[in-house]
Amino acid sequence: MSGATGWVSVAMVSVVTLAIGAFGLRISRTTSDFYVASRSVGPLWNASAIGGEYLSAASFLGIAGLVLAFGADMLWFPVGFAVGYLVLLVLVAAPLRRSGAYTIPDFAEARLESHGVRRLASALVVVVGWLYLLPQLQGAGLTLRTVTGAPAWTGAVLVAAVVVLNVVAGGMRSITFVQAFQYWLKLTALLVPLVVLLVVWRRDGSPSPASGADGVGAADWLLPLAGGSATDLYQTYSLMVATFLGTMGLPHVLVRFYTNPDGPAARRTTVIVLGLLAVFYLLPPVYGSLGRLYAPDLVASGRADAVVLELPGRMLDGLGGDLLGALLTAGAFAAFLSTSSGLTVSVAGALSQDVLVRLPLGRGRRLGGVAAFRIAAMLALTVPLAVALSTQRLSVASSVGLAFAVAASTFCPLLVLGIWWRRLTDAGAVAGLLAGGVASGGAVVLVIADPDATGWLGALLAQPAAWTVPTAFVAMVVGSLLTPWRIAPGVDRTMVSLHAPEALDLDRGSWQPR
Amino acid sequence: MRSLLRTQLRLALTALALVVGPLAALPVVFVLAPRVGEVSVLGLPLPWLLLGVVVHPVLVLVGWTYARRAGQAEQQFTDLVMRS
Repeated sequence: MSGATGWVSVAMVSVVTLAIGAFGLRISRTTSDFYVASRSVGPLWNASAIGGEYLSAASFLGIAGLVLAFGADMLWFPVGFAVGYLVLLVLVAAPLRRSGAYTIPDFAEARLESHGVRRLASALVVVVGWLYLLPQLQGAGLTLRTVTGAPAWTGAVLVAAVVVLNVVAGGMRSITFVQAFQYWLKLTALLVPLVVLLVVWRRDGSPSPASGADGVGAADWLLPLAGGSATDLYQTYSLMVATFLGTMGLPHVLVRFYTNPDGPAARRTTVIVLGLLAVFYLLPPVYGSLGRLYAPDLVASGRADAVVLELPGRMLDGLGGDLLGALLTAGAFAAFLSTSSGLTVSVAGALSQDVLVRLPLGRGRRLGGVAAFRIAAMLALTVPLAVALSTQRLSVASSVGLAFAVAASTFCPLLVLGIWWRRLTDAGAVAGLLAGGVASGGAVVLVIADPDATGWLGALLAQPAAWTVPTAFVAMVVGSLLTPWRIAPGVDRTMVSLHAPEALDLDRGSWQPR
Repeated sequence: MRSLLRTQLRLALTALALVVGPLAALPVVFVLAPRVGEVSVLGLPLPWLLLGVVVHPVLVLVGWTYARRAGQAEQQFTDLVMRS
């Protein structure tokens, strides 16, 4: 594709995103709007927004790249990303909405009546958010380099700048409109080119992707777990644990549930999200398969993540290939912008509520809510941007996989036990969060330091969820059983407010989100 | 209240078992019986068909059924409390 078309599509997505954000700005005025969009968003809008936020660089580019490089085993990524929403629906969606909390720290504080757990949860929100922002920014760099030849840092800086402008100006209300728009843009951007590419493929005589020569052998590529080795099996199961249980712990996902009017609406929204994701996730594996026929050299050159962007130019000549390539570039940028925006809002929320507004400014003054949020939004992006610009990259999907593992090892036990088990105590929660956080976080640090470790140690570190999630659950349960006197005094009222239908007039306690 | 909690938890775990059970069995099947992977349905190898296509409508169906049942359980509970 020529550089000019690439620049035009990137510029258009950025401008449209900012324009919709500015439109939303006229509506959002107060502090609570900044966080939760006034709870007046319909289920389809809200579901589109959740879908738009959730479908990140890993979904748009990463899955196709992994399928191209490694074949059938990688189909577990889209499956896991989708199943994660079913788990969230049945275990968390309605009770979380009823709790009135819109972030995990809020939930921890409301359920366990402890500021300590709240602060620890906030710190973990920042860690998971930064970990997940990193691949978004790296993916943006890769995309811009692929389509325009610009150096990798330009893409990362561009995405960070657009997101900061939008978040600082509009908060969550404008973000909701932007996100809903981004879902439909991403679906169109992936679907339309794919139809054309499949027509070209038919015209070429429908060759089987398995016959592609480079990289893994045909049988290994086509069949899952073809080697049958124990480490492969372990990695598959560990990936399942991380993605199934990690979705509920992603900070930018949970915030959206507060924008539903009540518990049943939260469930309806989640079912619509499942439908939207089902349609979307049919597509990336097809790109990966076509890539094995038309762009197998990307694997050897280590640029498999770019397969979605490269295919139109390789399969079509002239203007057609250019236009479809531009559409895909637009979709990829929508993915970076939407996920980064959601993450930035969440990280900024945690930073501003639990760090910045507490800072004394001298003469007894403190930062106001909105000013703190704006400063926090800039901090939220600066740190991952600095890391993205300075480190060598893991593949987009594998670093996202690590973020899921950390989320599954920390917030999943906190939410599941907090909602369904009244004997959870603050001390138990702290023990579990620390055990899961240190174990999975340690694995992440070791993997980033040495991504090429092999054998059992490499497998245990690259896919830590299968051992870190049980560790966190055990620590949380044992810690709670050892400290029965620390069960929150208001636990019975809290459990009623989590599970009782809104129609009933019951004593739900007096906790309000800040 | 306890009975509502138990009903909801049972519904949730049933939905999870329906989806996660078969999915968790798949890798073992692929390793123990590699021939399964060579079966091809509608021109697609069976693993690709199951993981790439079939799983998604099943998820939506289970999710939709769960949401309906959970809503019904809450309605029954509300009726019960209102009457007493």
